Amino acid sequence: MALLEVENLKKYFPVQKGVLNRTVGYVKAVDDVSFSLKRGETLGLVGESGCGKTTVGRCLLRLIEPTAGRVAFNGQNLLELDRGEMLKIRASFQIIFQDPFSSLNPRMNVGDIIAEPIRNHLKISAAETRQRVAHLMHRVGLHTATMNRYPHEFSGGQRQRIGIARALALNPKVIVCDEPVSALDVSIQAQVINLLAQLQEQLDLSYIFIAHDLSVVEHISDRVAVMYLGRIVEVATAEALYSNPLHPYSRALMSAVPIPDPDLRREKILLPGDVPSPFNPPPGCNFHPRCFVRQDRCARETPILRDVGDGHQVACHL
Amino acid sequence: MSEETEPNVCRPAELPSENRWRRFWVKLRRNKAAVAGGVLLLLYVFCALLAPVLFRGDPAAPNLILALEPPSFKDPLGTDELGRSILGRVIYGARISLLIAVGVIAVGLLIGVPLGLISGFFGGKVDFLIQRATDAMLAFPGFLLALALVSVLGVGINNTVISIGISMIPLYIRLVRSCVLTVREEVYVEAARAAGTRDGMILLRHILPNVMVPITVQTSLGMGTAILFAAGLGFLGIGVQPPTPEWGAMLGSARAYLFNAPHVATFPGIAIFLAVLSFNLLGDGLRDALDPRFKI
Amino acid sequence: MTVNAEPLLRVENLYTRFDTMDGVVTAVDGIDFDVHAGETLGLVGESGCGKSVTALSILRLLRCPPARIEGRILFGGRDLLQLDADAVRSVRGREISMIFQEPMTSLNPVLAIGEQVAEGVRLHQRLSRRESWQRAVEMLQKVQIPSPEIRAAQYPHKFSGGMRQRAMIAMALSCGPKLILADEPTTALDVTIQAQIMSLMMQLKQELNTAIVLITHDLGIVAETASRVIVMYAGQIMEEAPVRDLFKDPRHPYTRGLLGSVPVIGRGQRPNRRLQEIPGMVPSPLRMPAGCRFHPRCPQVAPRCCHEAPPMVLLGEHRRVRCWLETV
Repeated sequence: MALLEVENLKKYFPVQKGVLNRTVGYVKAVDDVSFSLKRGETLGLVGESGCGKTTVGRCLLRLIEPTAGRVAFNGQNLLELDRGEMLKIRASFQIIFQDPFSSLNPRMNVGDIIAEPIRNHLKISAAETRQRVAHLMHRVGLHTATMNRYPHEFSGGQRQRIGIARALALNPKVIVCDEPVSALDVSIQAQVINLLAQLQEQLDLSYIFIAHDLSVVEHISDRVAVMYLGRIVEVATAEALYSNPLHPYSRALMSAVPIPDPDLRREKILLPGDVPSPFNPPPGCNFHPRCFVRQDRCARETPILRDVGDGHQVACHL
Repeated sequence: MSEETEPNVCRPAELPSENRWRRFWVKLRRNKAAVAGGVLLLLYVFCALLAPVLFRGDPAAPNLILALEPPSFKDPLGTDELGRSILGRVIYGARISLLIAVGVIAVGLLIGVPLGLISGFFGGKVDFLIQRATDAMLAFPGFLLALALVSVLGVGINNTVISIGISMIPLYIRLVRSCVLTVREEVYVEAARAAGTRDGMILLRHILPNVMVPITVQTSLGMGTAILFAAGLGFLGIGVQPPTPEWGAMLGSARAYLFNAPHVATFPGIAIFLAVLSFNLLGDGLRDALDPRFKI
Repeated sequence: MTVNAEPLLRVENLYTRFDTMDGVVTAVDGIDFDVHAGETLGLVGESGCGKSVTALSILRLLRCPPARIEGRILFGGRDLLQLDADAVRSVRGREISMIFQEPMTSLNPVLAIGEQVAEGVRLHQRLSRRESWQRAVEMLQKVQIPSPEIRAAQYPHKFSGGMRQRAMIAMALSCGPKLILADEPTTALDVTIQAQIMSLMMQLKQELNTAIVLITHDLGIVAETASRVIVMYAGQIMEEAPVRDLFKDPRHPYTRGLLGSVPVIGRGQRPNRRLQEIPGMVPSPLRMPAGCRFHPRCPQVAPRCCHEAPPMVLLGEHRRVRCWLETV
């Protein structure tokens, strides 16, 4: 059975206008998203800015309250839990944030930052807490002697390690990694990716890896879901998706990634125009105005995600 | 490559450990105006603490024989209409003024900051109520509000502190609320929530420390205003009452002798001016020194 | 590229230092390079390596003090560092222009886009208001902004990130410069938009025969667009090579490390999902390591690297490496 099962997750943000804050419509940031995550697996969630991938991550932990849907973790629907129960669940369900500069409180020292979840959830002595923090710091490759230093004294990569240590503090089962390396330099990116991979092996973690960098996602994920305008357009194993992308958007996305090899000049599929506003998405398949293989029916009927074999799912009429 | 990265021939030092406080000090010290303000303020504090040592005798005891003497060797700043040494009264006045300033800020902080935190963090109905009350209070100019309050509460040092303090509350609420609205959206607040931290703790550990900088600056500037307001009330005769040596009250009673004995009004006036100036200079200096964007 | 042609831009011994509270920071530490007419030179490196400061120094866009710029920047027979403020201003925008990373903040939010594009033209070519507006609309058309007449009258907030960057390119090209300094022009954009913008830039470059110095951390973009690459680390040039040589035969351990540490799309997964990593981190500019700047992170470090700075070794035309390994 899957460790995490997400069904028909929706998040609509109301758009209000006028003095009376009348709701004039909704931004469908996440629209009917379903996926599952197996134990020890990494599911990549890719898409461009505004596709709703970050909102999905936040909704899973209920940092943003979803509008509708079901998030079953070990069979228990998180969206039905009350505040107290949810606080407890957060022990096994953690998140790593994108920006290592704003995700750490500048007025707290590293020891306190990492200890915060421990203090919230466990009743253990100060000495024991300290010991655990030291252990965690060692695990993510930080010197334990730096425990009393403040975040601004660390480099970006080290700060991201602090964030990872904080996420690991309560031995979580699932970690949502929200663009964990996109703010880092190339050489540091590799260090953090390796650390995440190593921790996954050691601690039997499952990741939801949200990123816009397709090369990184391919590298780290078992399966990848591609999102466009709040919907999942394709899900497949990393291998299948990268060798044989089926959805035209996935194909364009793959081809747009620059490859560090001057001899490998591929034909790029250049999509016309910009991503439409999620406030007023196009009817039918919301990708159709930019699609290079569209047909008449694409403007009318919304394609549903269907299985085309081997768990490769795609939402396209073709 | 995933092995420990330890054994290289020679390794560089860790990132330099820069001390936030040292940085703050260096920046503050380079600001000449702030240093001047700080020195001046220290002088006032010194006078306030050591008033009985600096001036022997009772600054409130009249000696009519010596009334309205100009500055002399015996009384460097001269005497007032009741023959009291102006130097002594100015020195003791520092006690009163600083006491009032501290009291006012305490009232403003203790009530304004929590209300601002709650208003900004929780939003909704509570926020609405607090904000409308603040709007109502801000509809009056601060001094007018203090004046109205004092006329209800009555004269005296305590009521002066309470009324000026209350008139400052809306400023703190506004300031804190607007800062909280920014800090609330920081990722580390979200991270704390994800770590299962309760709202109260988030307010206390994550939000409050990060709004302390503007509060500190406002406190320094607010103390200057408090002294000015207290002097104003004293001048009008509805603040601290004579014979207590308060600068504003001294000015008030010196009005009648402005032409034949100008020194009686001049020195308390200078004392007020310099006190307010010192707080303002220091406040501006603090703002620059505490702002990480402002280098050197 | 013709071999003996006089370079368009020649940077010689450029040092850019900043006086800070903690001491003097040498952001650019004695670099030299040429840019030839019509070529695309890639300037790659990680944050803090001095690549952006180099571009800002060339156009003298740094506030001095705290910055101090030394060396020679020869452009069209003149040393830009010797020119007075007015002369430099006339070079900026007209002969050398710059495209910044952040299309959000580098446009003025209270001026119409057309106005901003027209401004440069009006300043440098002394055209009337109407003529310069016409020219602005033409430029917006050239960067493929749909219905440019309408778009020109709109304000930046009506533009998406990609559109803003197109407008920035229009501004940069409006006076027909010979050289464009593009500082991470697509870093803030999504991949599909990045592909649009890069293809547009390359197409316009061909058309107008402009040289581009492309500053980026993305090796993929460099591989696809540059003809020659300079790799910078900690304020110094570590390696320079024609693009194919750099990717096929990187000589500096840092270049090798960089190439190894990026996952490549479509290459499939490595065993264990491990990437080759460069250990440690970029040194603080206040505490540069002695000897070779890269030695604390170098997998091939030798004792002499720790205290003796390696010389720049010339391996051929436009092929040089700063490493002791090449000196044997």
